[in-house]
Amino acid sequence: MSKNVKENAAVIDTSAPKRENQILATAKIVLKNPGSVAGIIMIALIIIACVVVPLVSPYTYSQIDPSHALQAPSLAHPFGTDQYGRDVLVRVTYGARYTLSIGVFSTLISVVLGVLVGAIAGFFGGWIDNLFMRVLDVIQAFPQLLMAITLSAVFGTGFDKTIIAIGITGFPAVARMLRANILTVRRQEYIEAAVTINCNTPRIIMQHALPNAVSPLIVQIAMDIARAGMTAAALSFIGLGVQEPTPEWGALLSAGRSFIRDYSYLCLFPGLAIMLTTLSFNLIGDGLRDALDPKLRR
Amino acid sequence: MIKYILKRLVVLIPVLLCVAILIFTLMFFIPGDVAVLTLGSSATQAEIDAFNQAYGLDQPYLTRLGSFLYNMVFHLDFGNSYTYGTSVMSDILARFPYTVLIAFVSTIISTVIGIPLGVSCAVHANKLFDRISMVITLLFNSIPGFWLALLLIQFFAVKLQILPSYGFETWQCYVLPCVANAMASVAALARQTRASMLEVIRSDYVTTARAKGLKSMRVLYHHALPNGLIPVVTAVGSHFSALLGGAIIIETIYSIPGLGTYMTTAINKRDYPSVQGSIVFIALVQSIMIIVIDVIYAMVDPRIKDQYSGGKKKKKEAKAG
Repeated sequence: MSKNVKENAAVIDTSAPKRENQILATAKIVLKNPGSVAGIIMIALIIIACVVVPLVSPYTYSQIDPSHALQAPSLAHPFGTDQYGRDVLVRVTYGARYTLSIGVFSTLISVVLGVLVGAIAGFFGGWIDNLFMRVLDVIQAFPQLLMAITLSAVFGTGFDKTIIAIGITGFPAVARMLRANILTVRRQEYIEAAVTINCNTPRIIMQHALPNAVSPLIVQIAMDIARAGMTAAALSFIGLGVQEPTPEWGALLSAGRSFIRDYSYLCLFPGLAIMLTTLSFNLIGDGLRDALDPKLRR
Repeated sequence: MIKYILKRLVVLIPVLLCVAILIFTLMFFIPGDVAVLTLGSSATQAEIDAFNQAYGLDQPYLTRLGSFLYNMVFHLDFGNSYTYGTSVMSDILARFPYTVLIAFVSTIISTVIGIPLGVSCAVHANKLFDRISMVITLLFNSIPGFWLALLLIQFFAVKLQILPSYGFETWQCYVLPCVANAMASVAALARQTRASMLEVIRSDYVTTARAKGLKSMRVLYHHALPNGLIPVVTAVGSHFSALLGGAIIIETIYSIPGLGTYMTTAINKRDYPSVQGSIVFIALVQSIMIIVIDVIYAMVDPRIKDQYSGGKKKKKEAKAG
């Protein structure tokens, strides 16, 4: 008899902090995936480089030195210098903070807007759902990149405005995904139970519906950061995002473009940086998807 | 099927109208005096007034929106360019073929390479060919099209000198832009096809077909492929949308006078009628393309086909009965 009680207690003990366990379990699976680990390491290296290199290097990202203009990569300038004699290594590593923060903050905007719209549309259904979905139809009637171009034409260029433009561009995808998840969650019995015991609606959405609907979103977030960084680079590349002399990677490529014939390294390094960052986030996203999808876990 | 297409086209009209209203409103609220920006700071007040009157800029918002929509719907007219005074519609019609051509060819490239690659990866899952292809597609999936465009120029136009780095007269000019635009989609589509095929290959009815003693090629082509490709066909639609956006950037690199070059110049010059017109036009092109893909999808997927063609049969049966 006493043995039984002990066993029960053990069962209760392990199941109590369930959410933390789930997060930990996911993290463990992700860390077993070599691709994701490589992605995490690369992101870490990029962040370290973007903090350390500008501090250690004798050059600053805006320091003009015409006597050393357009030098090929050497020991003094590992990535060479641009047409004004600025050190490309410092500019590329300094640029990481722009690309990464545009990626993170605009994804944040997309997620907040998307979760809000998706949760409301999915939970209430009916005409609210219809209205929101038609609005998303309109926003998604033209290519995402074109939406970003339009919004940055409206808001103007610059770091903060680019973040807003890309954030708004990304939210319909998040909203649609969350709505679909909420729709399936809403029919579950525990939601019905919460309604029966007279929980108020915001509480049901926040406490019961959302936590069970967000896990596919986590994958989306990782991929979205990559996509947002790439969109920012594309915008800056055509002169609408972040402007010179800010060393955002797209702006660096745009500036290096006129020298592609003779000084191709000016285009090589910023592009490699964009590629590695995108690759890392995609790898992390892949790992997260494998970890969160029980079908793929087998 | 015709009923399905008509239904889709009818739904399209309000969406496009809302796109037009949204874009017009966004452009309306951009701060700054268009007349001053277009004519320059040296313009006299009389010149500014004349400009505003000529383009109806002195009218209130609703009047301007109304006439914009009226002209768009009934006269297929997006107004005149502030900078050049030319008709925006004729400008767009002269330029959009380049952009749509690039987007279209890129879509074909990504479908023709991506889908077979994905299928063969799924068939040889976890073998060397699959592993290598997956690594390569992962890399290409992360390369921005406009950077690839620059690399291709550097390699094929500067080093090897076998393809032109800019221009639009001969077919060779379109090779690099289309390849640069398509590569990311080739990679993404291959990965999507592989995932979708793997799911189907693991399903019970494929196992059953194999257990019956059917040859593996027959199982692949007759049992797995039709079902595995259904989600891929829908994905092609979203790829076309991305490739259309990509074409807008890519063509500015190769100096192709398409809508992208037109729009970026118009945005910089604050030539709002041109911007509005281009966006509404691209929305139209994309929506029609997605309908075309959905129709293909409906033809591929017997479940959807049944909904529409089945209805007719049932009605006929009911009449006969």
